[in-house]
Amino acid sequence: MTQKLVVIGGGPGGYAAAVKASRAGFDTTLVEEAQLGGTCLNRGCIPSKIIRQSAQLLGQIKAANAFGITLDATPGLDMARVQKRKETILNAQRTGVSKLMAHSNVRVVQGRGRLHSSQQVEVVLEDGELEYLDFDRLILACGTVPAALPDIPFDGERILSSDHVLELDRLPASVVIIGGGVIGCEFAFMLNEAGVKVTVVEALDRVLSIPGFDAPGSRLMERAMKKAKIKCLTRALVTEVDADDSGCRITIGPSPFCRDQKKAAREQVLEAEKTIVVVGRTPATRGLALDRAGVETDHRGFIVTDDHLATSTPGIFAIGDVGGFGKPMLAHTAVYDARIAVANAAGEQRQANYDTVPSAVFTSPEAAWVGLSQEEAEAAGIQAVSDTLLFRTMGKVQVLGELDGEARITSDAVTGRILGVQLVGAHATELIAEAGLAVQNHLTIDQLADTIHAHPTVSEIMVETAWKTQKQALHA
Amino acid sequence: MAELQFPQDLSYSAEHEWIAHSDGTWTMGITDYAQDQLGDLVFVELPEAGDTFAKGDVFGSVESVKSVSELYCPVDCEVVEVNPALEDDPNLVNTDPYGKGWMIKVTPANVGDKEILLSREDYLTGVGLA
Repeated sequence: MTQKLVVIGGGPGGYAAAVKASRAGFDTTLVEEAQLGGTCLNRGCIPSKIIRQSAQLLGQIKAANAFGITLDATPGLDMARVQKRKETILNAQRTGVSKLMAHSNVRVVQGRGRLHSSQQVEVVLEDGELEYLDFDRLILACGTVPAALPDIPFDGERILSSDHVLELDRLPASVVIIGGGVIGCEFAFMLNEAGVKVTVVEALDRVLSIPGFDAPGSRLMERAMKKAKIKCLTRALVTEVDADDSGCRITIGPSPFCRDQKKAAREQVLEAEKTIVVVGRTPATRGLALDRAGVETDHRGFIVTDDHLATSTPGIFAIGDVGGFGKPMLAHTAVYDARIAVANAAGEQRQANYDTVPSAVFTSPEAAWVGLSQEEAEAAGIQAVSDTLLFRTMGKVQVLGELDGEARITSDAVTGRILGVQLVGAHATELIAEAGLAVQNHLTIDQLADTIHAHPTVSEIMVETAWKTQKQALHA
Repeated sequence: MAELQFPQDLSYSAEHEWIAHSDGTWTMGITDYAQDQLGDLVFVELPEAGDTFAKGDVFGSVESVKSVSELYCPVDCEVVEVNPALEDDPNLVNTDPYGKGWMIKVTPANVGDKEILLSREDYLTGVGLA
């Protein structure tokens, strides 16, 4: 008899899992309470890039004079029209996912799914009726939602989450962004380019203080902020946000989370039209009734899985963001997880491995990295070397007029194997794919150095850095 | 090409800063040699008044079309003023390194630290120009 597989959550992990499960022969049902595409398509990756695209274009138009272009009028950004363009693109994408489900013989049930037992999901349908879905295998792909600070709840008017920011149809004159992580930094550059006065407040010693991204990279990013006239206050803790019709007053003081207390921020009150809180994400597990099936969660509410993505309950798997704090919470991780979980649901014994998950940050300049930093390699007992090269040494970078950036390739000092790559600079988020291929397939510095890269392209930074490791740099 | 200038009445650091001493406030910038090596500057990153630094700390950076260099603090000090003109015109460092291209004014933690700075001759020997 055909086995039944249910997926709760229609984000990139969930719908990928549903398609793969159906192709693997499962009778597959996908339960989604809102729109297909999840955070990525509706409240994350895609809408933020659509708004960024408009903001970036505006920034480029403002810089037109340096490229010999005369402007007759002052360019401006009409957020209502940007939102309209965003909706058009998102609708087309959602329709695409919907058709993919239909073509893949995945039944989509619109409603809020929760566990009824270890063999049955209960769905609260849109009309309030309940539908029960039996399953042999269940994949939980419920994702995460923006985390609020304990005493600073979102109000959607003055104190905004990332979800609210992506729905703005009028830009505020000024914002304070609490949190200098990936979303905070992306929003900072996006809003700055759109003409908003931006201040970033980060409690740690540096922005983008995240695994895999090193301190020199953060320093470069902070310098780019300064250049863009984004105010960046690190080692600063927000103690109070006083918001009313006139705006927000944000009190900051020294952060207890920074390493060098002597450098902790001084006490001051910042003023802004709106406050954006982007301090992480919290699992969307509330209301899932996981206890009815005995599915274990950690103290944060993330579902606990083993490296086969199996939960504590046999037959139930968890993928993507909801499946654990500490693994990269990225759409492409969720899609990768989907392959692993479906294979294991079908009886295989595949292990998830996140060692070569690329990260991409859509700032200006962009940042991207994959594999190990030198510090991480050495901590793992590998004798590693790192070589860096400024993006501005490449001819194409000078043509683009986007000079900021540095490439860093970390390799095994003995074998030459490429262990990790960090790029900050023009098109870094596209360039990282080549680095991922090299790290994933254990390529060496010599192999990269022997790979002919087209001229003039920004991608030459990879081969030039490899030549530098060989002590054969041409332009450095 | 004009000959590089190194005023006799300034102190210098091995990291290519010049320091002018007046009362309790010292003014700093980068030397003519440093600006010449860097080429045309496109950005000068400076700290803010009130920031404090220990000897050897990075207090800013300079970027030219072809390179990026950190600026190192030669003594323990507190910044009292930064040159606002460099924000829009970093090229002042190239055209007038000891005048309009000054970078920061500081209060040294220890005025006696003047002794650890280099004389013109020692600096020029250090960079191989003597």
